[in-house]
Amino acid sequence: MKRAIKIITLCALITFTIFWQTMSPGRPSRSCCTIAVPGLSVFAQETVTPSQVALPDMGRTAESSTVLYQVMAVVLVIWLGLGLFLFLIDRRITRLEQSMPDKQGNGSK
Amino acid sequence: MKAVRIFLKIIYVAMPLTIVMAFLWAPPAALLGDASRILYFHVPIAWVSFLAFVVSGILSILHLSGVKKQNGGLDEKAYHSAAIGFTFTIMTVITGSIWARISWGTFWNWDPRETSIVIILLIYIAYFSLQGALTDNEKRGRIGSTYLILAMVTLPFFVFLVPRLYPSLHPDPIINADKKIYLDDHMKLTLIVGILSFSILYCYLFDLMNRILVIRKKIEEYRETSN
Amino acid sequence: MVRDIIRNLRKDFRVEFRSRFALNVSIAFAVITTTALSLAAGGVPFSPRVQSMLLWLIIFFSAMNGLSHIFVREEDQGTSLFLRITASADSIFASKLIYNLAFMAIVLCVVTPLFMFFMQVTVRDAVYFAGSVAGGGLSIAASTTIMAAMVAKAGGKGSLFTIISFPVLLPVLWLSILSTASSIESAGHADYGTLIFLLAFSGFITAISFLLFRYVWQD
Repeated sequence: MKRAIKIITLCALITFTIFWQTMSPGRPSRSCCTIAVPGLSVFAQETVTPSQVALPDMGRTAESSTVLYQVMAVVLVIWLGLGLFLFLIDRRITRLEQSMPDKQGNGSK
Repeated sequence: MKAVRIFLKIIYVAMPLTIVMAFLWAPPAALLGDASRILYFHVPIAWVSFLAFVVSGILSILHLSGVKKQNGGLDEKAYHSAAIGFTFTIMTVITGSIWARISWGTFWNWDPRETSIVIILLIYIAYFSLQGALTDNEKRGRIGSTYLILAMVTLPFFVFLVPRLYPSLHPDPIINADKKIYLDDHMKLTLIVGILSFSILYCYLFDLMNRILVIRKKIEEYRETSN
Repeated sequence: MVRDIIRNLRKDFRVEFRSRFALNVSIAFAVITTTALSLAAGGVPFSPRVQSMLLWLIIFFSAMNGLSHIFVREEDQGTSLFLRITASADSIFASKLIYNLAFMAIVLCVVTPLFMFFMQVTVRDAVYFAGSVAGGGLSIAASTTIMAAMVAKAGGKGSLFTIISFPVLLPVLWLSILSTASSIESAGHADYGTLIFLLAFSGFITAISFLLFRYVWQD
């Protein structure tokens, strides 16, 4: 339980720092994002299909795609926390189930 | 059983895949742009809340009709499904109202879909209040199951009722706007993957909770036999 | 079975009307709320929609105060075990249902004229108004009988009864409010389909409750 709380607070801190960064408009983007954005934007451009309605202002696309990656990173971090929590619980339950048939009386764990 | 449990572990891959697909692979919609990506989360979450509701109802019916499964405890399983469904219903309401704010300007519109999700939410709240009030009662499972079945059967009435009520409420011409969103192949695939991965997440959570139940029951049995 | 039902009914009426506790609580609540509303309104009548909403709020909460008493009293006085032994679940349910219907009828007969008097309600379509009020009251009484049994098992404390009744009664309330509002507003636009819906709903809920009651009542 305490481990879960630690994980969740860590995720909350990370999401807070990312939001803090995105909420302040004039802030220069961090180096990791400036490296990631060009790389990911190439990937993004490949997936543009002809049927998609193109956004008229190409100048805004770069900024909106930056925000998109940041939001995606936040969601991934949240999922990471949740997935880790589930994984740890699953592991603990599996251990309990394996030790169960050997238990005599009320063995402690 | 084991095979199903191993299959459920696929959620660790499926969910990040859904997230990446929703944000990067699927194109932005025509009207709303990138804000429409909430669709890929809102629809699967709403689907899961409905699925959880139906599963808990079916388990309640099975519990009352006396069908014994493994360790029994179908009423507890219905409770677990309701707990998961309740969480997802709250998330549906939150994501839905954010989406409503973005597309229609107001957080809440009382259109039929929103109203039915609120009804489900109220039924869950009432169910948990009832279960809470019956904590040490041995009839807890039966009374809870009865209430869930009763509440479930009134839901279709409401679904038939709302179109009748609708002309007298404020007209909402954009009620089916999300159906009219142009869903090209990428979007459809992302949506399907999202629905599948959230359903697997629901099954995984449900399975975890049931396993904890089994362990708890075994511990109680051991305690009783040792005493 | 009919004899059991009549016997239980007679007993219930006799016991309830000895002290008239539930009836007094319901009607007192309705009177207090209506006078408070009337005082707050200061003599200015509300729009038909608002009047209808207030009427149904008062009816709903008066019903919530009183309708669970029939089962809660059995649990409190310890007579529920005796009842379980001597009569079948079906006859118990039937007798309690008929009692609740009678209770609701009395409450409606008192509350509605009181409300009309204090809130200056002028009804345009009297038949439709009476029909919508009666239909709504019937649905409320029919739905809440089994829930009263559940709440009695849970101790009957606080507003648990209101909480669990509300989701089930929401369609009934909504429909009744709309039909009452239209009957107050104008004559001739009566949509009798809503009354039929309320009747159908009551019948359906009574049937389901009848099937499910033994799981709540019997051990």
